[in-house]
Amino acid sequence: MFRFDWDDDSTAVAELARDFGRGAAAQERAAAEGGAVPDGLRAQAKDLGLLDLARSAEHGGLGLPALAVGHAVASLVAEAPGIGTALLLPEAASLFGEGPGVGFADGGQGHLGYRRPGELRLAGSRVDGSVAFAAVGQASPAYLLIAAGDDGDRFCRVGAEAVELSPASAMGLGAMGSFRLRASGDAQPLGACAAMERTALFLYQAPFFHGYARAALAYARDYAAQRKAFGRLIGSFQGIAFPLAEVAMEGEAAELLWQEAAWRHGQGEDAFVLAAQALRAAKDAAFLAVNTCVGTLGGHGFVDDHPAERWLRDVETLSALSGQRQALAQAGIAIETREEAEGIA
Amino acid sequence: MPDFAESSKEQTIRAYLHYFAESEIRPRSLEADRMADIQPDFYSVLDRAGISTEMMPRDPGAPRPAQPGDAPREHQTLRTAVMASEELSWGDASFMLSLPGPGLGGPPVSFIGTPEQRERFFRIFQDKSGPHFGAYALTEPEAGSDVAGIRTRCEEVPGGFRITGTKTFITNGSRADWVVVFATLGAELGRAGHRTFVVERGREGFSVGRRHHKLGLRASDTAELVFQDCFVPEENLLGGRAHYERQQSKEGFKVAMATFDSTRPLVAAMAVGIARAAAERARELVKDRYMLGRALPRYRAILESLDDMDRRVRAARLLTWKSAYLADVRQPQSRAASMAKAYAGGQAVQICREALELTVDSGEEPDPLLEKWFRDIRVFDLFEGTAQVQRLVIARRLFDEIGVKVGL
Repeated sequence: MFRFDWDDDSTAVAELARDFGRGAAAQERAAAEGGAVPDGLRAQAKDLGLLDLARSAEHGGLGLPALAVGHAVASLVAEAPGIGTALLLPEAASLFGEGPGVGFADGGQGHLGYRRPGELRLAGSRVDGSVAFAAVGQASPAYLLIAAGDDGDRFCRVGAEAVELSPASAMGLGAMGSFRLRASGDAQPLGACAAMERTALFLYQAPFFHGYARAALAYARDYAAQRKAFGRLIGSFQGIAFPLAEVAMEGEAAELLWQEAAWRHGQGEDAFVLAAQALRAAKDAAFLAVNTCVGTLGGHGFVDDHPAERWLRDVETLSALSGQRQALAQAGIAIETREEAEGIA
Repeated sequence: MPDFAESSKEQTIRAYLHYFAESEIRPRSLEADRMADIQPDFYSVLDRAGISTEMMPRDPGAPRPAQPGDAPREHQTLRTAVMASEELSWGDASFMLSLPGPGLGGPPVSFIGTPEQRERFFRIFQDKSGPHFGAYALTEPEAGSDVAGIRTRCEEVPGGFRITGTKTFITNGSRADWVVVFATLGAELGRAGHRTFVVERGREGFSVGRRHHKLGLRASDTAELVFQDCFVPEENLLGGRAHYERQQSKEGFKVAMATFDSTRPLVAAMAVGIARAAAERARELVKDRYMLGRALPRYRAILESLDDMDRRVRAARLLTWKSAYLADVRQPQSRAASMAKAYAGGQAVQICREALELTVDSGEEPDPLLEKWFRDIRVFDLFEGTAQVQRLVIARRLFDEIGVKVGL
């Protein structure tokens, strides 16, 4: 029978992540403006094992299942969205059995065979091309890349000598830094990046949006509980309170869709469609949350005295990094629906 | 860790209820809607099939608000009930609402009824000679979502109370064997003046006013109940007089609220069932439709729309499941119940509309089932607390988390 509680281990890791996020929150703005997570914080996160949530035990990681990883990611990001994302998003290589310090970039054609100018191409054991905006966070001694091969997307591993990072211009995720990744040289071809691997990526990415949604909801609520207009707390106006209720509802719905997808993935079921739908719902819920947060703060939401405008930029940037919303919608179209459609004249 | 597994027993129950909905309810659905009543033969079919509201939370071991000294224990009652509610409503929600049994009157009798009252009022459902119903009378012409504003009076008299007032929109009201009635000792007492009674059919001063003609759910009986100096003996005061004294008199209002916490997930599940039926029907019908020489499913916009319906149905179901789960493990779930109700009701209204639009062209008669569900679903954004009331509850709980009363 279905249930929605968390086991003690998952709760402990999530609380650890949350507490770390609370401690880091004060440095959010400086990190975004400085273009990097302070070294001390990074070291602390590493010591706590937060950079190894999904990494296998073989590589010294915690080897947590997708559900537990996402629970921790969302808990951290909800407290320190920019820093949490900057620390954990670049760790996606750990999903695919890589050890610490391996950067990650997705330059393939994705689940739809989406072509882009200058994409990463893998031919034999050579990779060439670029990723206009890569979530690599910082320079790494090695990289796990997804590149387009002749028979679909494939993983390959390259050394730092084959990779060139140059500053890119993105409107958000300042704490992670913006890099264009150019790869050219020898690569070690690995396995295919097929539906199963894309599912793992979708499931890893969605909780970052959950975290932003939670942060924005809490901030807007707290503001509405102390800001007065017309002699009343603005939270007493239904025009303010109802949108917050909507944000809470959409956020909860998105998190539950993700939980089910992650659970099914963990059971070995094909959860590609569910994961794509969950990621899309997470993006929509996060945008609704940060946009509502900006609106709740009124003019204050538009200026950088508050984090709302930064979160709005962050969420859109994060959204761009994790695939087109429209493409996810297409991916989410249930296989059987597509098959039915294809079978019709 | 969250878990979405269904045991083989649960799979069997779901499959059986779905089979019943498909083979016994759906074929009767349109005719029942036309005649605004359930076909009499349905009840014998139901009896033979062994389906009743036994699965609803009414027995003494069922979920109820946690009391001091309660041992922590977990139930599966509401989780099973929401699953059943979805499947039967997939067939026709009017039939689901017309299942014999205590209905929405069950939870309050379970929650605060004395053992004697539970035994007395539930006993009638053991009688298999015909269908028996309970009902729940809270709404009044001037007080719907505003539970605290009810005006039906109860006046203390020797040996009991006299009730005077009108209740409206009461499901199964005209055929109920007994009705749980909420009344007040005086509006000036506020919530502390609320009392909850069970009033049996046939009591002098208790009559059925009229059956409402509705936009949808027409086969479901929805009636107005009139109480004119209706005497109710002391033993029909739910929980007994001591209960209200013990609970500092606010228990009547709390009972109404606690009832909503357990019934809103059931109503949400009904909306999920209808929305799922509409989404499935739309998917089936678009295959036979063409536009500009191409079958509709070959258009991406159509596929996206179908997929989006599927996603929203699943999200609504998960919110419903979570609120049922929280009730089963006796955790506070007002917010979750309101979320489930608001989300499922709102999305289901949209899904039914989209399904109708996807499958009908100018000059064409709408699919009768989709047309019916489009009418049926509208009330799911209204009853058991309107969409606005659910948002009030959710928003208040949000501010409660930081201990702030914003005056909402």
